[in-house]
Amino acid sequence: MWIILLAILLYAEICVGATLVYWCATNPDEIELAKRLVKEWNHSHSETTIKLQPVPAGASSEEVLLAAIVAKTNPDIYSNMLPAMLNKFVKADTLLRLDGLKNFAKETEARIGATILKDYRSPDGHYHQWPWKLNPVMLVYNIDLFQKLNIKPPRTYDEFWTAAKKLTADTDGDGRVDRWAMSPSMTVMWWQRLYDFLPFYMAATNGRSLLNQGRADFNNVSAIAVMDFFQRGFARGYFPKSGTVSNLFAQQKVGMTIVGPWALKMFERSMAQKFNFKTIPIPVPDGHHGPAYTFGDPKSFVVFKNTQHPEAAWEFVKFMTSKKADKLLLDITGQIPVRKGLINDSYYKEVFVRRKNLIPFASQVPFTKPGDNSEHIVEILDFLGQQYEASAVYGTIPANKAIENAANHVEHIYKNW
Amino acid sequence: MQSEQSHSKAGILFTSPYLIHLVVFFLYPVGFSLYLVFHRWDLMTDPEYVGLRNFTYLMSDHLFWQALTNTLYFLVIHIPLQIIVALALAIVLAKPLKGRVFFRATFFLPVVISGAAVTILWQRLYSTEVGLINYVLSLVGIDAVPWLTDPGIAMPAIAIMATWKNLGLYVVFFLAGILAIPQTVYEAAKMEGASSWHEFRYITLPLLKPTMFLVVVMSTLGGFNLFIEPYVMTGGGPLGSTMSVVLYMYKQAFSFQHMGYAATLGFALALIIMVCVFIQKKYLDSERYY
Repeated sequence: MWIILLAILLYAEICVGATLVYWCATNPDEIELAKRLVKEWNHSHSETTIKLQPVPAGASSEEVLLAAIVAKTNPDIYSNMLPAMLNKFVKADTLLRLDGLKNFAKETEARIGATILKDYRSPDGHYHQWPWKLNPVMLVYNIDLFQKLNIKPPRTYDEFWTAAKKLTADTDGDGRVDRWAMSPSMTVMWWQRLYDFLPFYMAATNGRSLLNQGRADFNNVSAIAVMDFFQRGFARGYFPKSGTVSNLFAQQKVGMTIVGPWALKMFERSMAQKFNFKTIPIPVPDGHHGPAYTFGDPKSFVVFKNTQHPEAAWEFVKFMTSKKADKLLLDITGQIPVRKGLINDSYYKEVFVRRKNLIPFASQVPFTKPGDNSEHIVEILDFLGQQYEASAVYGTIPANKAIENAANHVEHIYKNW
Repeated sequence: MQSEQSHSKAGILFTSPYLIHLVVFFLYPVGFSLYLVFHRWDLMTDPEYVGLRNFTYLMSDHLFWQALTNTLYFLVIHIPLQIIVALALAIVLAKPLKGRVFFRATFFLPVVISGAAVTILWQRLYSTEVGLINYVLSLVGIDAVPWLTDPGIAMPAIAIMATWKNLGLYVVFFLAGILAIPQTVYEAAKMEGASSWHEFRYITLPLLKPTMFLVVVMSTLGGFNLFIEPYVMTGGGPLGSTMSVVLYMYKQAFSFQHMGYAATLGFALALIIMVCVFIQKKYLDSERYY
């Protein structure tokens, strides 16, 4: 009797096939992309059904994911994994080792290439993530404003200050400054440092990251120069000390901003008056040699170890990162897939012709780094944020002291936690 | 004998919903938190026994002491402000005013609105450049005040907002207390020639002592639980000036996954609250009710 029941269940499983839950990011463009691709997959793969769900609401998607893992309600596949956070999940043995799956090496060679892939290796030497997109954080400036004020796009800190001086002004003559050079965040939220301190640090150091084998690797002159750069900006009034959350660049209240390609559509949507803008690399310290590297705000696909269908999940990941899917990613979301030779591939030429403002971001990819992969990264960036706030925003401690404190705290974190 | 047994069964049956609730939502969490106090746990890997390490870390953790100082500073502003304003409004609303019911409902409205929504609203009001408060101040020639970005102003600004949010509840408490005072006492005082001030000082205030104790204890408990306001409005900044103990505990637990240390912070906070309420009880909760 039991054997017959089991046989029926097994047959039903074979007939119905696998159902996999896939969580994507919550921004509207990514949901649109995911819906389109999942629909296409479900239409052509009757043996594996994908159930799509945007990441449930929370303070950050990482916190939500963590809670889901603890409650054992995590999805099978997740596409919004920040590599910096990956090690925490690897250490807890929650992620599937992808390099043990069929054709991993072949797929890697076709899409990414060994040089880029090594940036995504876990500390245990294996691969638990499939690099999906890499969005270089760059400097976007208002061309119309720059031309009107006869300002040269800044490549170095000196050139930046020249531009900042001209941009910062009281435009309506009421005695208050109402236009600034740039508006870096004042908040201590850990991920904010990925869009101010880290890209400038990577630009100043030819792509160095903050940690090296569990030790702080940023107690150096370049980090101090970066902290000093932000301190000067706030102290001279070139950056507003404002708690406002509105988009000052789209309102033309600042001439420059530091963003990734995902923000371009947002600018176009929220512009009160249409204006032209252009993207250039992050400024570097005067006398810097070499290209200006930057942080890439990368996101990867991961498959959770408790999935019942690892091979099917891997097939879906490959589908979501296929040549065709990458073209849709570029077109619908304006984000840059991690794909070697992207900019010169004729397959994507049509998108770049239509969306010229993506070309600088795609060209920057070879000089873009995914950042550190540490289980303590949130705490490290949080403390760095506190030092940034004290030194850069409020000027209560000198830049070198702020960097020294942050570096010492890294040792403290590794020792205590 | 059988009847006693059936009574006992019925008793257990009737109390079981509460007992289940007590075990699941109180005893188990408290017990598990106590277990965590002696462990290091990151939610995903197995807890590791660390003895008293979380306690020793807490004693030397200057961020905890800063958060505690900030919370006490908040209470020092919030509790007196809450009592003075709520009592004043209750006294006014106790009089036969025109539209009294409307005003009572209006003052109570912020209490029932979601804390997060109110906080976001006040964040906009406090905005240095585009906030309504600074706009009104500019009309009378006062320069823009950096409400949430000045370390010296941010916590008082949050205290004002929190007072506004909870005011209605305490107005209701005081109003109930005032209306419970027999009118004959006031009439007798009037016949003796007492002024309005004397009535307030020697009749209203002493007879409101039990209500006052309730308001102080509830404000203290609410104040120590300060979380949503700094979480949404300032993130604990500027320069850590609005980092409350609960926000710090939340950060340790859910941002850094230091669950054992967060549980230790929770127990420390519970202990501090107990001490505060004990002191308040000693000085305010006199047995000599009039």
